[in-house]
Amino acid sequence: LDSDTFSNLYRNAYPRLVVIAAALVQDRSEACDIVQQSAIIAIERIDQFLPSNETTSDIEFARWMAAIVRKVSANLRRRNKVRRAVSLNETDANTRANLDRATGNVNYEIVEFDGQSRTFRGIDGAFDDRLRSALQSLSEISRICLLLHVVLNVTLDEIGQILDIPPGTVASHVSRAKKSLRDLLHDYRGPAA
Amino acid sequence: MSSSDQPGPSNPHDDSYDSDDEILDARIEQTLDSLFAPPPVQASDLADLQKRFDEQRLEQEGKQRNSSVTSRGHSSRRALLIGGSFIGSIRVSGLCWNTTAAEA
Repeated sequence: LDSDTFSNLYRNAYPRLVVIAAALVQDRSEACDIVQQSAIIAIERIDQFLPSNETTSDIEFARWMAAIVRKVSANLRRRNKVRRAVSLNETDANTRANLDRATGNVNYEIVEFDGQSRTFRGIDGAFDDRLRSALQSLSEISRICLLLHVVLNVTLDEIGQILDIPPGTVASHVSRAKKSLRDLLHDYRGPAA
Repeated sequence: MSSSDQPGPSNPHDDSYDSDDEILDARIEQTLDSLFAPPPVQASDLADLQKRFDEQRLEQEGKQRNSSVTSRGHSSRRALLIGGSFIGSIRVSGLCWNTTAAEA
């Protein structure tokens, strides 16, 4: 494998990899960083990539890279979780009480945290915030299957090959994920206001 | 698209699935697209990766070359023959070849 071939394989796999990472961390720009970081790891381990033949190397490369992307995403989320736990410990009861008084209710969530400050927003926010929250209730694998299928129109067969699961299982994940989202967002049924 | 490209009963065939659900599905898909559609890969990122790839390859090749020389140096003591007659031995030590004809 030379650098041109690697570059082509990476370029072809890139959209799928970003969507996989975005499904895991729910942030597009963070997903792009994860994919770039994963590519560096892939280069360091390039001897471990052994395509069986040239025609399948695109899918095989995407599958190999997807495994790296999932590990890097998991590590990042673990680190963020620890950081967030520390941050919540620092948010004492008074701060929470003040916030409750200010918002008039206790239905708020942290939607941003940059290490210094937090932004709180009511649960009844915009549709995309509700959708993000609803996505969180799905399993990781369901989110990945759903987003690859909906956002990139990747076929169920191909998703199955990338994630190393049967296409029937992918179909089931997509179907159940769509139903869950509909159920969680049922108050938005009908034309948008 | 093969039949398996259609995700199960999602749920146009479900009796409880109506036009409002259809609208909601469309809205969900549109929002997912706007939230998660990937940007094109940056040319500068690709160039960086290619450069890194080449550097990594060079580094690996260098390691392999050194390793090959070292192992040969550690293991070789070869016979020198002229016209089928043993005239001495030769030993490889790193990059230095030593003949020891006195051993003949």
